[in-house]
Amino acid sequence: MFKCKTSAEVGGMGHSVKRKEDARFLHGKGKYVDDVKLPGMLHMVMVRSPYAYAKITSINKDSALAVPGVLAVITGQDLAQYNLHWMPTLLSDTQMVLPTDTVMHQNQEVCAIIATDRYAAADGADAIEIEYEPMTAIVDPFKALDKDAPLLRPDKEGQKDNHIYHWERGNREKTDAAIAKADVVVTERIYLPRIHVASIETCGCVASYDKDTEKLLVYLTTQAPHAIRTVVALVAGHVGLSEEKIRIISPDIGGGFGGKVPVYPAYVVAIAATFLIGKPVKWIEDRSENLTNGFARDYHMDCTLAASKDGKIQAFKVKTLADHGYTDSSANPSKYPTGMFSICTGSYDYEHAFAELDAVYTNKAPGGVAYRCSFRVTEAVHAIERMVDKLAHKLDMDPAMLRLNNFIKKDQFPYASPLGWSYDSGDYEATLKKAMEMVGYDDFKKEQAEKRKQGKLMGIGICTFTEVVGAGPSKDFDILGIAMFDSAEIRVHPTGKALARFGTKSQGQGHETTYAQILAEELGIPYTDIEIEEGDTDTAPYGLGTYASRSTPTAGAAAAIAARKLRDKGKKIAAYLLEVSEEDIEWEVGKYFVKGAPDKSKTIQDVVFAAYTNIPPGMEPGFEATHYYDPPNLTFPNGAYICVVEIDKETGVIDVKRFVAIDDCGNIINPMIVEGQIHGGLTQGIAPAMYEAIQYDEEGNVLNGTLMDYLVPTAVESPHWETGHTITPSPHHPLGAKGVAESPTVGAPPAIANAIIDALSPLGIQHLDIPISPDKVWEAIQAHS
Amino acid sequence: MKAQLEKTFEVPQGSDLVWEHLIDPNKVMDCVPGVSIDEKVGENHYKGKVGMKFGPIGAKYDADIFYDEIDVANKKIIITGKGVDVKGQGSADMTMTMNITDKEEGGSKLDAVMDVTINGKIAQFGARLITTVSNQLFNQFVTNFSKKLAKAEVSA
Repeated sequence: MFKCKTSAEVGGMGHSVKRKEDARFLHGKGKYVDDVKLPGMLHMVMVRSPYAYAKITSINKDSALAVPGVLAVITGQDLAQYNLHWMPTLLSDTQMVLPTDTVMHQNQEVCAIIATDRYAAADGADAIEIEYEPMTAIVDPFKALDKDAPLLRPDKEGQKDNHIYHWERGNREKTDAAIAKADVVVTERIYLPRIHVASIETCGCVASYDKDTEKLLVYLTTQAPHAIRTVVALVAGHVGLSEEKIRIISPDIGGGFGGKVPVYPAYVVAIAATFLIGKPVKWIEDRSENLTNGFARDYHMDCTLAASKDGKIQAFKVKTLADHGYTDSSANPSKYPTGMFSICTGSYDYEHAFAELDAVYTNKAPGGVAYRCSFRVTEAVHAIERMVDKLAHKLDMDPAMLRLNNFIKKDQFPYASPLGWSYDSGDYEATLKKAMEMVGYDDFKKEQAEKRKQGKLMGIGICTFTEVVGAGPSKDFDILGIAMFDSAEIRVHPTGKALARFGTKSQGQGHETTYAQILAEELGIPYTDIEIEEGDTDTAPYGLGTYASRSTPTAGAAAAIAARKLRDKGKKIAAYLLEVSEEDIEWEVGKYFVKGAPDKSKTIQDVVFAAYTNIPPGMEPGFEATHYYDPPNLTFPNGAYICVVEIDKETGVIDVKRFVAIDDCGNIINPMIVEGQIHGGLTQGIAPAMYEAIQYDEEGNVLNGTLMDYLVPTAVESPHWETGHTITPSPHHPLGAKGVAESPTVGAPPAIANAIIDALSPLGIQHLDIPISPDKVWEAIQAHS
Repeated sequence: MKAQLEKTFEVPQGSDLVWEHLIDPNKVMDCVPGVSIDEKVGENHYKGKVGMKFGPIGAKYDADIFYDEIDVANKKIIITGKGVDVKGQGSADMTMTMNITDKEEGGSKLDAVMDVTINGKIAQFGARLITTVSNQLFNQFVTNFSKKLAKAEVSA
């Protein structure tokens, strides 16, 4: 286990110190975008399309403009005059800011109403008269590729059908050959439906352009303020917005989960509006707008897993159809259109794998955001973990035993995966065994055998996942060409207190605490003496932001290295103060001392004070350091989750009796925060497993665009989460740490699905797609009895 | 979203009287709550208005109503309606097939099948209410229509 090097007062790594940011949150003093009120501020409401696919035949602004308080109506035609009606997506596709003639999904932005208050703007949106000519929407992604399917994107040069791209990794021939020769082959089509991040805070912005200073200030719900600044400069450069004049402030954020990575059309409209009108413009998305725009998942995966008859996995193959909606706005690195989906070979040691994917356009909202799933890792892990269970069933083997027999061994790391990753570290066997012991696996197996004799439905589900988080390295990973590194800048003031700024942005993760703890660990300055700032592009160093569990792997590492630069400088100052040579100085947390004479020492605070008051001759004054960290590899957190369920045969109701989650995220900065992240992530894992899916009808209407119909689990639905850890430090991360927050969202759904299907297996049920609701279970029971 | 309703109801009047009412939009449409016929614009083509409320969401449609098939011999009619929300919030299409048969013991029996397709705000927010509301509207129609037939019978 990790041993703390610092005292509780200093609060370095391994201490469960309370979160510094919580006082303001608990006292209702968090400052979110909707709390921003600027003098003369106007309000914007978006008018949205009732149709999934339609021509706009007319927009009559007059009735909206007649509403008292309504000042302007902005349409696509208006933006077209400035060539601002289209914008690039994060994956270099194109997305309408506002349509000039065609709407492509239900609730797409059609025009904007600007008014003196939000109520007037909403009345204007209600009053406006728009005529549409509805067309037959493509809702089923498989039908999108039909020969006679209408071409959804004739605006794109050279686009002849609704196919966006083909992607593949691995060796098709060798994988096919291994599957053909294998003793046992299992196949399944697995669908991970569209879900929404459903963060508590919806999206929004306050855009304010000052004509005199020519500065644009935007308060924005964004997880990546710097990247947004650069994108705005690139997109709106031609109308005179240049990057040094753009300031993006991402204030407190009420949950991001990937949904606050993209640029939404309304942001651009608000910026255009303030630019034209010269007054601040606020836009705050309502709940239904939020739930019907953007999405995660939506992968249809045809999986094949092959093994020898004694249960040695030999090959895995997956062919995926990805429904991207009307534009590919997935939040993925440029060279990785399918994110890290090629992690789909899982935690197992075998040679052959092949993954391919075709992406298509449909009349649905664009998105493809992470949702705590690092770039499609959730899809990948669900595929392999369901298939491993299916294989265990076919072989009549214990799924735990099958996994233990196939794991990559501890001494095989760094492990070159069949699809090209270099897993950094792990001890999968120890992690699974710890989970089995904690849940009491053998006892549950016996209980299950008993219950089955009595005709009761009880299931035990396992998921042993490998995650991949912390992009860069920058040579491989970029967003729209911007390399994925991250940064830390530390200023230590003369009295030994510090201010540190980062290129990332917390949305609730607790950065103000954990970054301070990293600096406390490295410098010995108490974490309470260190202020952390993020999210203001005028002050923070450049970075790519917070998503996909990348903050600790990148900016956390930058903090450690910047602190070590300061420690080196401090050593020179200490040598000067103690009148010895630098080589004679040693460091232990918080102080420098003379080798062999620990009494002769200077604290870090003494040394910092000297950096401003008693500077060694020839040395640059001050005590500041910056580091831009470009990671040599990603980190590969992993875990073993075990879920036990009982199912009521008569009603299909699923009762999650136990859920044990053992995570290995390397060295832990703050165990309490990690546990909180895991609890949140597990709850966001039970969500898609049992409750959440965005439902469309045949015409492309979203049928559950409210929180009354879109079921977000609460404390009532959440089982008692039991958590634990194994610790296998990352060998390449300066702190030995890995990302963690999305692991539980990745690991929980297959564990729950496997448990439910295990419970139903005596009836002959071998697969159910998530979300597995009581009615789905009931129907399956009826169909099999 | 799509919904299908199948309904059967009986009235004490003979099929001739019922038929005469059914093929005349001015006699039948005011029995449907929220529906009014404004003008005849062509052979078997009428324009009117439809107003409905599905829980929190209301809609006002400008409607085109067509008598697509009038089969006198079999006493069968097919009526289609296409409504577009006056403010562009959505649309609704409906096809209703109705058969009238004389009952041996007197009176007549009406069999109706309605296919409804709804797009836009109502589909989004009122989806779960559509069947319930439609059933209720139909029951109100039956009550109104029966009353009208009874009155017509008396005055005839």
